[in-house]
Amino acid sequence: MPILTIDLQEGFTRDHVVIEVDGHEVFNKQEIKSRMQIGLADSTQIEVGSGAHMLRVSLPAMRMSQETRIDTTKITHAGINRDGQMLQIKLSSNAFGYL
Amino acid sequence: MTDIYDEDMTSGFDETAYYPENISGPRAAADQPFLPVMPFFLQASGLYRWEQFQKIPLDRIPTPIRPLPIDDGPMPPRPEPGADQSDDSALTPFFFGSEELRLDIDGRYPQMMASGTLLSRFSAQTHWIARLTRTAANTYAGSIWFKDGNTATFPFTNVCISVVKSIFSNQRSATIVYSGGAATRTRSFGFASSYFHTVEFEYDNEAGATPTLSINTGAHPNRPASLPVENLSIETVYRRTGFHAVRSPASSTISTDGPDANTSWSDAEMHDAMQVYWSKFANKPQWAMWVLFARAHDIGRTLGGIMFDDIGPNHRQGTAIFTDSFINDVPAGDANPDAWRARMHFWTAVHEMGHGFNLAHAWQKHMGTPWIPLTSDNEVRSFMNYPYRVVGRTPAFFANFEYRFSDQELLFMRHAPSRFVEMGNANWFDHHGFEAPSQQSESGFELELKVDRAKAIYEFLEPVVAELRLTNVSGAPKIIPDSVLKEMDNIALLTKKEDGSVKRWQPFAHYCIQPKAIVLQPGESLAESIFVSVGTKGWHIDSPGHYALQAALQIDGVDLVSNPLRLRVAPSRGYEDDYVAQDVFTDSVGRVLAFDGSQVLGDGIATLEELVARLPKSRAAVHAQVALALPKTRRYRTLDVGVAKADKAAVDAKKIFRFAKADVKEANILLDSALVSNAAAAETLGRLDYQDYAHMFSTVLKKDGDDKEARRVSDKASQMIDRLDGADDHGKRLHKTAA
Repeated sequence: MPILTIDLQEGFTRDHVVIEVDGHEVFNKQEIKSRMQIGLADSTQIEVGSGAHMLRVSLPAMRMSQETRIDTTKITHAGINRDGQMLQIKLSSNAFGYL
Repeated sequence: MTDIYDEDMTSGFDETAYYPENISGPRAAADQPFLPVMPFFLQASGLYRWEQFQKIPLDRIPTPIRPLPIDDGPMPPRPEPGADQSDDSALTPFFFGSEELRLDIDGRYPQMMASGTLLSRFSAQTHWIARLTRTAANTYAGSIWFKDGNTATFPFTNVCISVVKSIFSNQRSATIVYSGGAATRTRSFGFASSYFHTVEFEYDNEAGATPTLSINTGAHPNRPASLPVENLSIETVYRRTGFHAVRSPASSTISTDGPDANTSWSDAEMHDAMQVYWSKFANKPQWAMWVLFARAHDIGRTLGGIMFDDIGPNHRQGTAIFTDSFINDVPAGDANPDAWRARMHFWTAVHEMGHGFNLAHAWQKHMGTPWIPLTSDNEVRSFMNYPYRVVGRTPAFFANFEYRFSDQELLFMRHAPSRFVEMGNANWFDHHGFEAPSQQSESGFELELKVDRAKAIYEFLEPVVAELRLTNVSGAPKIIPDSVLKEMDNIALLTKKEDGSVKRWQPFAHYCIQPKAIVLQPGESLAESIFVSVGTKGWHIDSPGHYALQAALQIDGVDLVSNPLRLRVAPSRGYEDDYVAQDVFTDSVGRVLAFDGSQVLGDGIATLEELVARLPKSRAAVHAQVALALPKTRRYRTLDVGVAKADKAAVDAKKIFRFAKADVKEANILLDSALVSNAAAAETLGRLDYQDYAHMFSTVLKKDGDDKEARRVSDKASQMIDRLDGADDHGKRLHKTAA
């Protein structure tokens, strides 16, 4: 089965982050904070079936959320960024690199 | 190959004057002449210095007069007051001050800037930056657009700089005419270096992780057509940036034996290794960096390198490059895999070291607390941008990359106040103060650090009393312990001086309180005052200049971080201030002020009495009068042991509590002067403490039968409180109803 890697990248400042895939909670952590020198806060990997899935990320305390459809036959990496009051999801078939 | 541009093989001879770094076009080092043939271009950029030393007699401080023995012999002649001592050994060079000028008008990537740093023995450092244009041959002028530090003594707004160039460094000089701000001053500087700072890099590597410290820029075909083909070292990159970068001779390989040889590194392990292994490690700011080439980080293959040193008090001293990571993964079909790999390792090393100089990524420039307003640039071809993040990704990046930092980054590294750049100085990603406050709404509380005045400017000698306020910003009532702001064990309060030194403030007293639960309704606050100036670690605020304070409190398992409170202490007003200051910043005075008085700490009491006598109108006198008065309002108990403290048995036998008589009359005079007559009393003592002191004073008067005076004090106190900035927005000091 494909493995979907979800990286929480830039802009998190001690946030409570919840990630759901197809309505199932796969990540729920407090105090998520981006390390500016690598542009990464946290990361999680889940096994998913091959095909389309709905990825949803939310910051409940900030009343922010964003979702996107992912076809895991093509996309295996998602990078989530917070820009102020907006969440952005970047998708890639390759792993993100951090420096 | 040796890069002869960067070898200092001559004494007093400035080779960069002959070999300008801004020549364009390919050139191989081996093709260059070993010695110059013609001086075709002389540079002026670099560091210039002026220093003032003055010789003064060692015995200038008057010594007690001793009686001379009666002797028949001739008396030695007594020197006339102020006469020069002929014996030079009786004089000592006394450092009065210095100025540095960083001139950036030619050479590699000129920014057309000048910056200066004024160091004085008697006041804080001043830093300025001016943008220049060439106005005549060897003459440049422009306006000062950035000032930092002790700007009050530096009123100038413009500079005009004339330079004298020479192939001999000792004949090079620069003269600045400062103007604007109602004054003009001329200062001449001697040439010190072609570089703005010297920095040392120590490269160590884990066995199996090969360091890439230089590359051939022509080895990979994907490069700008105009890129010089040369052997480029990390030190050369930083020399072209403006630093005299030198490689530590202590560089070595760390062997990892045994079954754990292939395990990855954590940040903590690298930080520990840096402290143990780096030959130059010290817990202090210094222009030096440790660079570790290791195999892999705990994060995994996706982490190619990290400036790991954001732990502890001195950040940005260590950085690491991971060779068993994605930076080793050459794209399929690449024309020269070995060159691709070497270039990526080299680029990563310079990039991570750039973080050590406090550079953020190219797309993060506007975030955090930049030293000046900065603009992010996702496409810039800089060591601080990710090659695979630009449009067209890695091939597009290296097709236009010239192995350099952006102009914005060069400006910062060359001209920002050095404490922002120097390793181990300002915290990572922090150019001005502490970390930006975190989002606090998640916990439902907000923590605020404030002072009761419109502008946080303090007189010299004036103690700083801040107010810490916890507010329920949720939509529902919250239950908290009423002592949450009193128990300083839960609270971290940091003070930071403009020189970058950070201290954790610790109060003289810790309270062990049986907490009561109280309800804080939405919008309600709890507040507590903090006597920030002094604590168990000494005086935190004791000299003119800028300070930043920030508090953190743990509540319900969540760390709340307050706003950074920035304040300024004004310079001394003259002789009286300076005279009193010699005795004020002592432990005993700190304790007398923090505890609102003492009958035991005699030297502290005497100093405060002198302060009141010499500076009766000062704000510091208000604090002193309160501390002197309060012990007199009641019978004051002291423990009299009558013997040396070391003799415990005798102490146990003789110890006795004694009571000093109250002196209400004297106390009332002092309190009236402090709390009623001085219009600044509420502002300098802080609203919370002022209310308590005024209430106490009124109670004493009532008890003494003077109801009329008691009412007058209460009315006057109310008026003063109402005049405070933000008087309508008061928190409550433990006056909540228990739940």
